[in-house]
Amino acid sequence: MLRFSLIFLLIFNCSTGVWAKQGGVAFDGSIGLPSIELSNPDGTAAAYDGLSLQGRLLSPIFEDSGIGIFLQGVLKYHDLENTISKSGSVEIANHIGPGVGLSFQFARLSLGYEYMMMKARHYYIGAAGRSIEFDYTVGSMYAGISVPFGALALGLSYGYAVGKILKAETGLSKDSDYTEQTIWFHLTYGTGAKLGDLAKSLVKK
Amino acid sequence: MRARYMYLPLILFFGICTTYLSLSITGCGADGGSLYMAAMGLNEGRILVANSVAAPASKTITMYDLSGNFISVVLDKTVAGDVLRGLAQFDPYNIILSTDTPDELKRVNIFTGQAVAYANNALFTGNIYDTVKQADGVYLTVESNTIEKFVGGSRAPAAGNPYINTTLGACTISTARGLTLNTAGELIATSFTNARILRYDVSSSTSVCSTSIAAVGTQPVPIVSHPNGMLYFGTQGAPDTIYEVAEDLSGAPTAILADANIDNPVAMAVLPSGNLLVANDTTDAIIEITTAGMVVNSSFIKNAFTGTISAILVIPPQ
Repeated sequence: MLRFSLIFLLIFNCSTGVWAKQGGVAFDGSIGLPSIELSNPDGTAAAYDGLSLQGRLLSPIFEDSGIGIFLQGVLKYHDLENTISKSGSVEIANHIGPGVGLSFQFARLSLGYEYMMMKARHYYIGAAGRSIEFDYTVGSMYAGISVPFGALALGLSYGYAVGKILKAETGLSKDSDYTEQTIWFHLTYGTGAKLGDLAKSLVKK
Repeated sequence: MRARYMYLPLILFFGICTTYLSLSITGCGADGGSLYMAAMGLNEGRILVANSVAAPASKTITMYDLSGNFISVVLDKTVAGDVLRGLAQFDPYNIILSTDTPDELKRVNIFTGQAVAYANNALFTGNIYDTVKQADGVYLTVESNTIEKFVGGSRAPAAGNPYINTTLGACTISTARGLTLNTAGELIATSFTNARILRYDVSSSTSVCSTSIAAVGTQPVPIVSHPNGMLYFGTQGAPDTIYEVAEDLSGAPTAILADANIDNPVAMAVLPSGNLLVANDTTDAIIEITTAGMVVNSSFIKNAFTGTISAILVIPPQ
């Protein structure tokens, strides 16, 4: 971990020459590698991996000299498969939903929190196929770094989310604990414009 | 030239970050090891039915929802010829099946149908019938005029007489058939030939006979323990009857149903609703009745897999 920190600082300092200022409303598209776990009533857990996609609209509340506070709207999608799936016994799942959040950015670093309202569909494919659909909410924290290239920026972030799937949604005897860890790869486009100006440009003849 | 080399640290940086975080998240990822119960329908509960028909041969375990709707054939031993006898729950995904020929306990996954040998012993021979789960990894199984105990797949005791021998105190077994555990954790057994209901203290490595009562009717076979503190059992000696008795066998059994709906009862189970399921060998049907003896559904499950039913197991909603 110490070795990694030293490498990180070295690369960060050598990269200052390519820094370009971005600002205003930004659009962020991300692809992620999720690791998700749902608990069962008997204490066992179902683990999933797969692919995640995310889109964000970031609107600045405050921006000054490399520091920014952003309000964000998020749409997230997880495409998952249970890690113990095998031929003849497969569980797959799709989770999708919107959310809102707040992020704090300092130079290349960002920290944020999102509140998501997700809809999930799980399918069991085997001799007796079954499916279930349920809703849940989850709170997610993330930390990331990004490097700008003009109006664009490439970024990397780590997200950690926890939530509960209520037993009233699933019919199980207990609520299920939801835990998520995701690595996200970001491509961000900063428009340089305020949200109001951007909205006007969309309806302008 | 300077601009070109400027990007080199960035590329190196992203590569190291990605590799490090990927390895970290993989190492710290969820252990899992299970499927999500709600996705498999275990939030709804399941009914498992074992049958062993000699001709035409049919030896299967089938799965239904709690309304009696067919879901799947879990296990088909028709070709192998195993005689399927008792069912007990192992965990939400697996059951224990007792078989006569071969004389053993098998663990069966109710979703994949995979069956593996769980317990057998050179001393585990004779007529194998019902099996019941006493605790995790502990099973009590009928073997002719005795009851065997298996702990973690091994016979207990490892050698010598069975855990419950033919005669123990005031209890004498003559062809044991049905087993159940009452709410106090005591073992209740039906003794077919001498028409007795027997109660044992099985809380220690040595069993003790607590009570032996007459079944009133003759040839008692299936027996179940109900959360209301009562036992319900069926007799095959005319008239075929369903009886109710206190779970400590205090007092004489009371008949709750003895009409055309009861015809050679061979297996029983308790639904989460509190109603009873009774499998009739003559009509090849499972009926649903209340604890007061009212018939709710005279054809709760009746299909090609309900001939000569040997056991019914209800897995409650998880």
